[in-house]
Amino acid sequence: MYAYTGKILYVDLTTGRYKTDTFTEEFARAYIGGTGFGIKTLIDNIEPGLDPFDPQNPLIFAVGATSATMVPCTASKFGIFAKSPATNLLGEAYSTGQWGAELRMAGYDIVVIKGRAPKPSYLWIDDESVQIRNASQLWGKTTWDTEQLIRDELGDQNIRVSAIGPAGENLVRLACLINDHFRAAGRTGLGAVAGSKNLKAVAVRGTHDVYVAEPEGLKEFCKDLYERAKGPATAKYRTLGTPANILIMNAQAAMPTRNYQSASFEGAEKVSGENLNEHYVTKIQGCSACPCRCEHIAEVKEGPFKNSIARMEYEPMMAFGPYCGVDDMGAVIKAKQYCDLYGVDAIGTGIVIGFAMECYEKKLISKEDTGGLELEFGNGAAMVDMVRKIALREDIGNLLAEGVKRASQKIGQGSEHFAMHIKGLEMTGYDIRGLKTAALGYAVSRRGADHQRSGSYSWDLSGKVDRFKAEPGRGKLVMGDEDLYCVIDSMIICKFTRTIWKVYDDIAKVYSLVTGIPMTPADMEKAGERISNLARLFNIREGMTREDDSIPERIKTDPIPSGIAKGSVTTQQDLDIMLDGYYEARGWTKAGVPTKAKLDELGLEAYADIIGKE
Amino acid sequence: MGAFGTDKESSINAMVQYFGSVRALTHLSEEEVNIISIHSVYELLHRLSDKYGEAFKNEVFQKDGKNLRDDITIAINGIFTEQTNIMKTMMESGDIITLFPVFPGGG
Repeated sequence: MYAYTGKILYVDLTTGRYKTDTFTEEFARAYIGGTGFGIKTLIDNIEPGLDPFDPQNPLIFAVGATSATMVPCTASKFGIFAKSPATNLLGEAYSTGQWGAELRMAGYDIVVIKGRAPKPSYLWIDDESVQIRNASQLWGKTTWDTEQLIRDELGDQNIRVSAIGPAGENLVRLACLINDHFRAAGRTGLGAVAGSKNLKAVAVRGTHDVYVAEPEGLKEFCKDLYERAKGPATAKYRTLGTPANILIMNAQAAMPTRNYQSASFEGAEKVSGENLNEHYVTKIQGCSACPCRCEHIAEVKEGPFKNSIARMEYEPMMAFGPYCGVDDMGAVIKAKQYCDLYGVDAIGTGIVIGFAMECYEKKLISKEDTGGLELEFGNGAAMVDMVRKIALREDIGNLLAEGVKRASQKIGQGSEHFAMHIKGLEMTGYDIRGLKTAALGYAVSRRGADHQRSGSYSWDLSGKVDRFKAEPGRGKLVMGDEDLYCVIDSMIICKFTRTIWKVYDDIAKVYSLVTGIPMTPADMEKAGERISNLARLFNIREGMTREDDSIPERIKTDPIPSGIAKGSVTTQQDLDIMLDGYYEARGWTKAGVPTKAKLDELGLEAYADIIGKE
Repeated sequence: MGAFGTDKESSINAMVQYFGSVRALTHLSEEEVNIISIHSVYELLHRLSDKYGEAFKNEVFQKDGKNLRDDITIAINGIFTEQTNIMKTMMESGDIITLFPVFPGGG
């Protein structure tokens, strides 16, 4: 095979031993890379019903098919997979920067880590050399300090490090892994899985060349892709970036505000992408082999949050801005930086704090609970402090560290009504009361509340469908989006560039030029469907049912109070109409279970025991 | 009745609102546009392209200069309008026309 190393590294932290294995071309062709590799490896290497903090929960790293090649906008991404401590279902998160390419160059496509080290440790992969090294001196350090200290210890500033911060060490269910300072494998609590293994970091250095099957043909095609990636389709990412969504979503009354008590924010201009770019952005940088350069690095020059620095995107700006009623950009940037340093998911942490603010507003929690913080909507300083308290499990931060679902179950007193999660994963920045296709996409997303598994909000926000109407046909749209995103997340293509690819033709062509493995557009589409169904099987085996394809209670009962979407809700009836259509489009039963015929069609018959008798 | 609630007979303006990358080109969040000789939204977009130049035109239209880009959404009085309808949607005095670029959400 070309590009693929074909190698899987298995590490047992308990025994300190490791081994390598190989995968076949058949495996590669069926599952592509990234998402496909991660989900397939996870389902085959975990016992169902396992506690996510059990040492036998594998923490899996997988790179994309085109990792470390010249293909623009795909070369650097990687995925991390495990059973999620947030949802007890499939956990997956993706990051970019430089780490993924380094792993491929070190000689591995997949790393599977099991066990628990007897003391804090980090994994050091240096081409063929694999070591489990002492991390006692790193325990308690931020992710940024950890990266630098490892580089200093090993004497190489080119080492790439994916690390947890104190949050992962404290088993915070919102904990993530950070690499290259500003890049996060953010969602589903995988940092806590690493922490449960006493695994502080995975450091990697690779010096091997990566060979592609048809370098001349690929070079020509990449020239075209490169020009497309620098062209008008991606210009918006290089200028304002996704923070431009703040004012756009605000105008559309689709931006979650004050824990979904509203869908538009009166202070939006102050925390807008326009304000960010004019007063805070100091540079815009890019990932390995990417011509787009979308990473907006913002710095606070004055005020109580002076010297804060963070990469800013729409979601964390929404989560720490309108979601918490905060219109102080300095506080928003500081909160985001704390997330990077302490290693917590910025989206989830903002949503949990917004929930806590509403609890405080309703006097369900007190100043004593918050450790003296007046945790009111709009109090940016309190919000910033609470990020730290969550990471360190201080005061009510200890409860909030369990995630909004568990926190609301503990607080009770009706707070479950406004605990904004799906399957235990906190909501993201689209108010799905007025975005019906997005509501379906969120409800069926395999990792919980998530706009990234289908991107189906695009239908609603583009005017191609009536955003306020629930129809069975939305199911086919979401299915198509999900399967495409499975392919995109397996290659792994940066979603900011997805509009430059002619789907599935360009993707299949690149795949074949890189790997030498024949792949038609239809094959690629089928691979996407296969991976979607495999993910579904994993979750069903862990006990998921149709009832889990749900939306938060507030979405069903509390209408958007103002703006263009005033009066909108997505009711259970709306959801059921769309769910039925989705399951039918997928060829699943009314209970949302893949049929035997579907498994046979996709080459998944080995998993038939999961679905039992139809 | 236009969105401003003004008398259709005496007012001949529409309000155009800009967001995101489009706003960056116009340097305006909104402006009032005299539509006495402009009948459809499609025509309006071409007139705005003439005013703001090639960069604006490329932001709104595909290379052919005729079809709208897939990542641009037009709302008329808050209601998204499917692109194929833009060609024939007529404007009235007081209408609010909003240009939104569509982003994949940044996480």
